[in-house]
Amino acid sequence: MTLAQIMRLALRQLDEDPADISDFRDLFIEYLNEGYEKAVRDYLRPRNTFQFVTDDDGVIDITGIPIDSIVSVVADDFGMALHASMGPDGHSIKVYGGRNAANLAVTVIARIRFPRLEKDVEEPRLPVETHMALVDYICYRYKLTGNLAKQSQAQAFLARYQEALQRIRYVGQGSVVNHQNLYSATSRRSPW
Amino acid sequence: MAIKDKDYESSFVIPEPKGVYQAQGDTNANVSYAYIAENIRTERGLLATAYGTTNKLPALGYAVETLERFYRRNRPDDPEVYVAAANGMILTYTSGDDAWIERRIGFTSNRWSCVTYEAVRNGDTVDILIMSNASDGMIAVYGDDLSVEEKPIIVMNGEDVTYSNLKFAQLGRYAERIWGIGDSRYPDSIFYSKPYNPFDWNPDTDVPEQGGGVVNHPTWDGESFVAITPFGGYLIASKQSTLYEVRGTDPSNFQISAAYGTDGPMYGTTIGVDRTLMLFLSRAGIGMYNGSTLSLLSKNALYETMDRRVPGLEQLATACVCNHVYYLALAVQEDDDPEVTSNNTVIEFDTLRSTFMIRKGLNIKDFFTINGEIYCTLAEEPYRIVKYNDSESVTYSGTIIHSVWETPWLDLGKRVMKRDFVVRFTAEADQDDVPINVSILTDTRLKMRSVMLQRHRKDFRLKIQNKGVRVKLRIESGKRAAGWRIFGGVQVEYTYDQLQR
Repeated sequence: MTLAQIMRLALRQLDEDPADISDFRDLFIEYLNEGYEKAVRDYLRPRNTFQFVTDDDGVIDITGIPIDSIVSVVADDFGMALHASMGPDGHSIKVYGGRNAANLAVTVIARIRFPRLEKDVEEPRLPVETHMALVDYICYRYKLTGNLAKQSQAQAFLARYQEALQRIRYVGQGSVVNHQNLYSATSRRSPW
Repeated sequence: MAIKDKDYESSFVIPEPKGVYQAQGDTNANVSYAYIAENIRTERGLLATAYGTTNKLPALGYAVETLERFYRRNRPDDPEVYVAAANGMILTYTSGDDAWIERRIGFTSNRWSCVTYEAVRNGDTVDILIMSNASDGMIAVYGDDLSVEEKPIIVMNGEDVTYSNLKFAQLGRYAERIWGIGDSRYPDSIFYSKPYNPFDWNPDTDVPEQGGGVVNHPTWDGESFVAITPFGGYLIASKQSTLYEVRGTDPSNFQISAAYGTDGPMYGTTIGVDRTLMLFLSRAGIGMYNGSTLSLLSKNALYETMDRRVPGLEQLATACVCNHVYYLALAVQEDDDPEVTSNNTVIEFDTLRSTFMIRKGLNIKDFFTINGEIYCTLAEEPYRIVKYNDSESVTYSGTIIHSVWETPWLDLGKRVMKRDFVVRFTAEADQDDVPINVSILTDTRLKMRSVMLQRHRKDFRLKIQNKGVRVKLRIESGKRAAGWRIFGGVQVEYTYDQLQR
């Protein structure tokens, strides 16, 4: 579903007139991106691999690169895992190792963010079956700012959102286990 | 404690739209009444567009100032005749003819007062229409051949001329006599003819009860009699600020007495009588005489209209009564038209339902009530006679009627934020796809929704998302010349932001 389709569905679920979309658009885009970001960060958890060279201080500038958190940092030359952490501003990675970490070519495996959705034709990069969850999230957030009765209704939308996204969590994440072989989950070397 | 949706939901209903009522101010008044409404019909529980106007009679070449139906009992082959006065002429029109026929020319005034009577001519009884004005005196239109004869009135007392060439501005019929007032030489006098003889106004010295005469009632305050109106079992003679009842059956017992109360000055051209009410425009508002007391009719019910009357144009006001509705046309200041020069507003007061409605979009010059129908001339086309309130018309002679109904401001008993408005109603239109606009106004914004009404009756549910502490509902016609009707009132649901107990 596109952004416009998601917002239109949200209006219908909220019993609002589709002709009022201009009244809701800014608010709905904020709500949708909040739900989208939450779905990506907490449920989908996409990763990517990046090649960097550290500077003299062992720091990698990642400004403009949508890295959410580091999974692992490996030195390319000797294949060794390095200790590293993201800077407090989220725009740099500090590789530890003193002078050995300076000017070092590294491969970073990181969890990444997806860009915000702003245009009507854009689609969230989530499995199609979960797009409806974003509709529910918009409804949840909209109802949450209403009176107590609406806040109560909001919980039903939140539950539907969480239930839908639970399906895209991979085996081993959180409470998701493979019941055929419990050990296959628990013995996996996982950074989580 | 359980949270229930209904604790945060409420509604208000317009159960039966009635009319305009502004006396309670613009806030928290009864929702059956609109604070602002124009061109709406509310009879039988409807909220519908008002009927329009159509051109019914052939146009005259000149401004029509008098129009009268003349029923000829003695001409059953062709009983209905319309008599008009324009450009110093008396003209007649018979249904089915192509044009008006000139009957007499050379008069100086076109504004005649008329009463019907009968007379003997060549041994036969004929219907006559007696007409009079203060410039030309009295004339009579004879029903047999529609000829016009001048009828100068001279009152003799024996050999002496008491009153010569009387010219009445107003005529009335009461106790089988014709009554006249408004001769500028005799502002305090009410003259009456002999019974059964409208052209003989002389007293009878032998049998005074059978003679004509005069009732004088000077008030020495500069006022003069401006109207004379039969009212139930007596006659009402009006001065600018006082009404006088004339009672009795003959000169031996005619009595004149002032009615209680005053709210003058009244405008003589606006007097209308319906059943037990006499209504008229006065400076303070619409005046009412109920047979015993002179008072104002529902003070401030039309505050916004009455407050904006154009000073100096009250003399143009005109009125009529038809089917228990008093129609009063008057000039009211408009924001978008600073140069108002004609009666641009019509107040309709339903005497049976006690409701007011406002008409806009017509510049009425004169009203004429004929045979249970209303005709009028318009300021911009005074030579054309149009039928007013014609149920077959949905336009004002081709111009789309703008109908609007707007409730007062409503805080609905709770000064808290309201939102999530849902408007429900049942409606139909004369044609398919007739647009109407439904708006919720709040203290912060206006939110409008257009819906298309269809020929078949249909239920509508409109979600109008708006929020505010104070709310108004407005329903108005779209830009299409077609009538529409809302049945059974309108319901508006909404939610509160805070728990209300």
